[in-house]
Amino acid sequence: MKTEQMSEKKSLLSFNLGKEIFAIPVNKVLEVLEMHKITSVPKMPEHIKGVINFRGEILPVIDTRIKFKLPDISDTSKTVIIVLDLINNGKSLILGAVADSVRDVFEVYDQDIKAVPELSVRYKAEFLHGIIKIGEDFIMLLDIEKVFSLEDVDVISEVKEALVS
Amino acid sequence: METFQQKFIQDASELLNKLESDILILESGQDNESIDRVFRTLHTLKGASKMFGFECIGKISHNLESAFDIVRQNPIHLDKGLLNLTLHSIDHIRKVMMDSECKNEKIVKHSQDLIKQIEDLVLTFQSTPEILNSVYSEDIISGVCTWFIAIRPSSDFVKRGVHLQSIISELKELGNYKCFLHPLSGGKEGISEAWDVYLATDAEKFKIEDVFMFIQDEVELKLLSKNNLLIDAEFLKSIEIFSNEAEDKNVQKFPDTSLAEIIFKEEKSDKILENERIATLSIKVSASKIDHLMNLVSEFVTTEAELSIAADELRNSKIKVISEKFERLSRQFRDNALSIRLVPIDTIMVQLRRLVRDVSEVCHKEVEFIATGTETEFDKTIIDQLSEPLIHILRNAIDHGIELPDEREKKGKNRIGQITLKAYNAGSHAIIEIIDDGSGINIEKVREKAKLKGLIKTESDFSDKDILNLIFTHGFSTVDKISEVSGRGVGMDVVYQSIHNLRGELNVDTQRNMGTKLLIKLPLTLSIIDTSLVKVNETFLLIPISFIESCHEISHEELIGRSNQNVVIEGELIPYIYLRKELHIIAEPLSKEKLVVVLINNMRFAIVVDSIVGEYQAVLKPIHEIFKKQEIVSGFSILGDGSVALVIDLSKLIRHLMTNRILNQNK
Repeated sequence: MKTEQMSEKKSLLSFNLGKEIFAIPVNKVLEVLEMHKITSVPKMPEHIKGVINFRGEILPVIDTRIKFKLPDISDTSKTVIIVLDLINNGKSLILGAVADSVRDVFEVYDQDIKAVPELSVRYKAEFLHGIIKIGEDFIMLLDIEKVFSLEDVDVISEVKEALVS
Repeated sequence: METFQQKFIQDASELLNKLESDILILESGQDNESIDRVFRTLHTLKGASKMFGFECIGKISHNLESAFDIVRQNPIHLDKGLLNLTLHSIDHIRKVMMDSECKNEKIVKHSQDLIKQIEDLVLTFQSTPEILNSVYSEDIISGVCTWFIAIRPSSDFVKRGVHLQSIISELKELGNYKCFLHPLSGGKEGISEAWDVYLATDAEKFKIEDVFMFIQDEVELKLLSKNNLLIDAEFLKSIEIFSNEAEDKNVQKFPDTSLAEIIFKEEKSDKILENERIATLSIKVSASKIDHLMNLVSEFVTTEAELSIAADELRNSKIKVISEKFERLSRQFRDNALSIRLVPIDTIMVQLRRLVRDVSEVCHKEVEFIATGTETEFDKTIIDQLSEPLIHILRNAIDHGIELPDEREKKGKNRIGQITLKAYNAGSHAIIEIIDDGSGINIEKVREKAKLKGLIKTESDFSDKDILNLIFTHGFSTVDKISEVSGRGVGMDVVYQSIHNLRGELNVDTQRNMGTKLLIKLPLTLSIIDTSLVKVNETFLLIPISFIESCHEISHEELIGRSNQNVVIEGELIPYIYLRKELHIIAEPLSKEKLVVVLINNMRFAIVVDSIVGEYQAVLKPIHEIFKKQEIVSGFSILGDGSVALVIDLSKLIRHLMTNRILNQNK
């Protein structure tokens, strides 16, 4: 057993996306829902799939596969929507992210989270807090505030305005 | 829990608004009642600020009060200098209240300067030779008068630590008095006694009111006579009898004639005390409580929709009947709750008047500002967000619309320009019109500017009406010089946006040298709207009913047949928006499609959908940040079956149409 040594333990939820495994802190997860019919909203960036009715409120749903440039595969019975509670610009932002399936809830110590080697990973290192190795698997710990930032949306509309003026 | 300071700031703000309003009235003409009101407001402000530790506000009000005291007796001193100084003080006091710790040195210094300035002014008043001193107002009493004071204690007197006896004995300092205690039947809960006091004094009314400052809601004051009645034996006998017979506040009359007549009726409000009375007819409710109520109403309406659907599915006639009753009640409940949030536009009028005055001065224009229908009510949120666009419209009207007095004379117009604000209700909307009799918008100039900016290539494509609407585009301004006041080309665009954020419409109409009229149409509520539910493929959409003019059916071929995305309806060429395309739906269109024709901003266009499902009372769900910038949807609503419907934003659609036209012709 590893000695506690003042290192913090984090609880993480891991899920599958394509061939990769990602993890996010449990305290940011509000709920895990079965795949719903998603109402699409016109003229939104590609990775925003649309909205669903979540406990009587409107929840935007992000297609994480597109965000991570993974091949689009059809939904299966295991496909889920993970409802996340993020802080964006100091305000609480609740949204859903599509995942192929959930795997596990587990705990890691801070010291087990390794830094992301710059060149060997094809995803932007800025999206990840680090990598955890459990058995044979490499699990990528997501910095969800960075991943789901709203900056993409603004770019699209600025381009449009430039076209008209 | 509000601290005393916060309460003071709230009350003081109201006092300042009142003061500002009266000063503006005095600017257009002196009248003694206004002077008197100003004096009393300053007096109240002084007292309150001293009590809550706002020393400098107290001093400023004290000096102004002295100035107006002199004015009361000698209105000749009421000149532009004093009025300006007073307005300036009002602005300054507002700043002081924001800096309650007195940390801002500039503000503190300015307060000192202001106090001295007013002091000096008062000195000059006092040193000018007095012209005849005469009594101008009923409230200026000279000589001993008799007053009747009715005290009706409320049940929490004891709780508040009010010691009635000691308050009444303070009256000793003002003069002679006689006090009666008699039982009350049918009074306010738990109250069983009332006090009647007759006071003979030569003190002014406000000094008497001061004594009862802490219980002013429970006290009524009436002037009985300009003579001292307490020395009259007959009077003394009468009031003895009166108090023995007195019951509550019913009609009473003195048996004798030359003496006073006292009439108290529950309904009749005493003119002197009108203000205090009116205060108790309405209650202040915190905005958050109303928001909470509105949330509950919204959920109620949504649940009622679910019930309706379930009732249909069950095919149980009994339940259906109840469900229909429920729907009617739900509508009434909704309307009632929404009306609580309604506030008359009068509340922002002082601000607007002040603005017109200030801007006219800066621009050296003479402007008369007339407002009618200010009792028209709008949703509180709407009013809060209306002041900015209105301010901008008025600024524009004065700066660019109304001509300089000499110019106007040359044109044969009255030197004084007129700006009228009309507010009224029209069906499910509330309308504000702003009309000026200035030079009108130069449509040719706008056309020129638009060509310069590359917005239009072929003149013929754009009618005068279209050109006029171009002033609402970003960055547009035909003004050559940026004046102090406006002209940066930011204004009208922002105004348009603000009005559309409130889900309203903005129409403009103008005539060269005659003037311009801006018409703002606003919904009565922001959160629940009556809509028409339509379907495009699998997606449900909602269109606000108030804009819908008509619905038609058309075959798909006929629609596509035309090249310009226009369709002929009842002889008119109307552009259309093909929702299937906008929603990127790949599935095959139906052979027969529906057209919903809408009218907004005086422009007509059609929306093509698969089918029209029915009417729906949509509760709008707040829209996420990320959806704010897109072009078609302004909100979402949850339907009775739990699915999400998109609410179409017509004003965005129309802009989208205009943008497309511009882009298309540039190809």
